[in-house]
Amino acid sequence: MIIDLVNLKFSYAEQPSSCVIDIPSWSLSAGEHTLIHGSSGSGKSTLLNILNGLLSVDSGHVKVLDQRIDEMTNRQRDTFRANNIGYVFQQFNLIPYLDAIDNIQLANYFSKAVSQSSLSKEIKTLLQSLNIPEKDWKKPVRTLSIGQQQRIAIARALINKPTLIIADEPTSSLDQENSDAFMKLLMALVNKHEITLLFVSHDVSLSHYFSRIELLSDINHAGNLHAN
Amino acid sequence: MLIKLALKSLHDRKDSIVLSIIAMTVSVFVLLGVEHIRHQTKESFANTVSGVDIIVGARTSSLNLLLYSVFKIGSASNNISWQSFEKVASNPQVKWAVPISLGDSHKGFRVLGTIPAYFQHFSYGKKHKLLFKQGQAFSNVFDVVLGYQVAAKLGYQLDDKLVLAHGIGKNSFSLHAEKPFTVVGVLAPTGTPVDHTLHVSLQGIEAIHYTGKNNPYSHQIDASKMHNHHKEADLTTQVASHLTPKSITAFMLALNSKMSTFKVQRDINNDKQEPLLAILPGIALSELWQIMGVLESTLFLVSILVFISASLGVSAMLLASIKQRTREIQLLRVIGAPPLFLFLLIQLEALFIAMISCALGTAILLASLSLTQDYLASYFSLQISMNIFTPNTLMLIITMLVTSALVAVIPSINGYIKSKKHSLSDR
Repeated sequence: MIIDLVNLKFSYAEQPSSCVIDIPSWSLSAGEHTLIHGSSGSGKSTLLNILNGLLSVDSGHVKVLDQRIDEMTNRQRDTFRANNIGYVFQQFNLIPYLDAIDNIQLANYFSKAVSQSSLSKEIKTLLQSLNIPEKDWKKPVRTLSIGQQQRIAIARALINKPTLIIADEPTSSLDQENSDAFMKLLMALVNKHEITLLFVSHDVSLSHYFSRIELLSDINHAGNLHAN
Repeated sequence: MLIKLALKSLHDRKDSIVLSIIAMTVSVFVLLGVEHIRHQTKESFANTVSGVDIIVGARTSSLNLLLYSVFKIGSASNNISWQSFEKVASNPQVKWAVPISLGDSHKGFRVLGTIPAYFQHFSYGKKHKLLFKQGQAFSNVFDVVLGYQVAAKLGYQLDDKLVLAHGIGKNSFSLHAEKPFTVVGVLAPTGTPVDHTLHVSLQGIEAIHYTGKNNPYSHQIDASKMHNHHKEADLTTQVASHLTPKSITAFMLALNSKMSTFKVQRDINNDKQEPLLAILPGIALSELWQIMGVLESTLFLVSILVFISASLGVSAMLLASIKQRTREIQLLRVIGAPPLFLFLLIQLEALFIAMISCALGTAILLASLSLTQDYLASYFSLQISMNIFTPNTLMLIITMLVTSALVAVIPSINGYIKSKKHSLSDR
């Protein structure tokens, strides 16, 4: 199992009485490409933060890659996240004043998954496979187009050879054409590297890329209670 | 990577960073400048006189005696008799004794009446003797030796004639105009009040002061002049022997043995015939510096406060930047940066600002010192050395860097806490 959640409960410290996440049981097995569909405010970001270890749960088990991340120390979680989880956001995926190569190197800096000697070669290969023209590699990423930035974000997510990629609405700031190109590229890469993909989006039109589609409201009972 | 990130992030926010750097550079400049000039002035002060063991004058405060005899500031309360000078000078303990007579001026510069031995014995700094840039010591009554700045500012050359005035007011002695002094020597620059002094013989001073109608000397001079119009110099030399001064302002002593300093001082102070004051220049200088010390400490304190406020300014700027960089911090956290990384990042940014400011402040200080060095030397007789890299200033620079790092702990901890708390929830 890549992700295994049991009796997960979470509420923010500011509002301890209102439970944001309440997942009795949910899991994701290796190689699965799953689309979680949920509207904003349904606890989407909270769930993702629990999975990447930035938030600690109140009760329940959080197993990611068969490791209990709810039992890890903060430092262990930071390293675990850097080593095993690739992340792609809707926007602000990259440090805007660094160039593409530096951004990817920075992600590698926290994990050391790839040895320094092969790193620059590794980065080159990735950028080439993501169709980033070589002249743009040394430009601050803020000067590049959003489409290019999102592709560099994929490279950043892939550099540490993660087992799991979490994508949080990565296409919602792209137009239809770029969005399709992005999805094709992402799916091709996760297939090639046999990476499990957890994709969160409110865009139902992306459904055809995924083998498994879930509604967040089905998984997270807290949202239902709250809505009712 | 951390260093690269810090540098690039600073570069990215250069508008606000540049202002912070300017503010800090100014404060570094002020702090280092005050510290440097403080030390240089102190040294300059202590270097004003050396090789003189005792200065003797009329009863006054030791500071006053030091100020008028060495620094040519203020005036003597009273003169002392020539007999007292001769009595002390004949003491076997005394190696040499040089009388000085003050009270006259030339265009605002003080005139010092003394004997030619003054030029051999008076020394400044680390036992530097007075050197002649041009000419030599005076030998005739109406010869004058100029301090370096006197000659430079008033544009006198050798053999120029000049007229002395009594006091620092306007010239009221008609004979002075008729009996001009001839420039026979110009001293090399010393960076001490000597540069601003005109040196004449005691006889020259006497000649000015005994010019009343009933004064026998004045007749002698006039008489000799009438006989030998063309050999004035020789005649004044003859006359000089008659011009033994009745009183002088002060005199300087060097002793054969330093061990006897206090005894000789006590003997002079206890003189029954005339109330005299003997001071040790080193002790009087340090007393003087203690008074100046209050001022310099205040200046130093103010410049420290300026620096601290600049450091706080940088911290405030960094603190504000953390708010703008929330997303950057979140991103760094998601790709695996521990909160300590964020703490160090902000510390490093503050340190880089401080380092750049220190480098700039030092460079500007060096530049302005080299530009104002001549000005300070000529107008204030302050010899400021260009070497600002003393262990002292290096310590000061290190202290400044540490201080700015300490002050930057405030935004750094803020960044640390923020990165720890912040997740993606408020995206």
